[in-house]
Amino acid sequence: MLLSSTSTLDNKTIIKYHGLVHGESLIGANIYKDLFSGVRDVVEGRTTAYKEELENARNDAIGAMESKAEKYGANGIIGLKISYNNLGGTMGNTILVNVYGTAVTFKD
Amino acid sequence: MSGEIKNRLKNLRSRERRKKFLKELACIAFGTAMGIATYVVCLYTHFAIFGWNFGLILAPLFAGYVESFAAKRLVHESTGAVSTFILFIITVIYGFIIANPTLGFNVITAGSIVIILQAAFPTAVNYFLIAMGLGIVSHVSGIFKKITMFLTDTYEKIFKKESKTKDHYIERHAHTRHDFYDMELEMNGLGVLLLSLEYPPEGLGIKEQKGIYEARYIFFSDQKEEIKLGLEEVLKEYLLMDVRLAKDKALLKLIKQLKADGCNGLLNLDIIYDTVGPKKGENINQIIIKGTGIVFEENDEL
Repeated sequence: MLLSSTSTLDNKTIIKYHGLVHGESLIGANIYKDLFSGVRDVVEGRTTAYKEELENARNDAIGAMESKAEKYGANGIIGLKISYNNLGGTMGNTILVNVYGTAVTFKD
Repeated sequence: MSGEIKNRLKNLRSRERRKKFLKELACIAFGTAMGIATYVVCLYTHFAIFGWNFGLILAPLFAGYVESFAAKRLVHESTGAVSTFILFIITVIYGFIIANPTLGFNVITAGSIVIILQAAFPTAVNYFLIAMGLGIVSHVSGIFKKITMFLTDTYEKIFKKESKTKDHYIERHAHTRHDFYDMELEMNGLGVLLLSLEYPPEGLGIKEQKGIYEARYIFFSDQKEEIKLGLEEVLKEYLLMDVRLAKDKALLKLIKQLKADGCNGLLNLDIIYDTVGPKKGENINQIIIKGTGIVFEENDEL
């Protein structure tokens, strides 16, 4: 699956636009995990932990979006946008990873 | 004949009781009067040290002493030194409020009132403070709810009964979604081509740009309730479901608007999430979906 944030694909011909595909993932909606991350902050472990969690969440969201595109028979997603949104939460760090784009079928 | 004797005895007893009650009242009134007199004397003579008048202590003490002394003589038992409490209230009202008109209501005065009340009615106030303290702790941490849940779960496990609270909650959430997803929803199959692209695709043949379209949906994420119910493990899943539901609702609203205006496409689609309520754990979130409505030539190739 080809992913692109651009509106067009160079040297490729888009033969079908399938429409919007999206995927979401959450991290941090766990009060106990948040509390422990606060403890880990003392030994500078929090940054790494959050980085890993954010990457995992991003990959999960993209994976969900790709499987939707595959259902349409698409082989690419263009106009891809990724956003990270804080939804608050009990400790103020429930982060939503939101990805969306336009599913397309292209040929070389 | 015996009935008449009984009635007479009854009347006699109630008359005695009334007489005793009046004597008790007289003792309390006398004690209170003597207490007030003591307080007046103390105030008049400025019987004070560092501005603190001894009348605040002497008046209630003397009132109680006089009342007890009189009660012992008149009714041959104690009346409970009620005048001490009356004097306590009188001295506090006079000393704190009337004599100090500039005294404002702040943390110190509020604390003083609590301490005074605690000194005057220790048992009642202590019960109240304990109940209030426990109530606050329970509300913030949900500890009693957790304990109750644990006990209920344990009981249910032992006696093989199914949990009701969690089930009801899960059922409620399931209903919310089911109501919306009653039919199979395919957003891209509703006659509007949704494109996140900034530029129109080549060969789309745009006939008209209808302007900007925007739809929003507000949703709540009350994580506190879920934590209190011991549903931490499904909290993430539920919140994600709420987010998806909100997105689909907003998207559907947008598609309806576009179709109503004769659009068959949306260009430069943008999805924005925002938190409206700042209160931790009980957030009000909104999702905004916007883009430019277009009318393009229907093309089977695209």
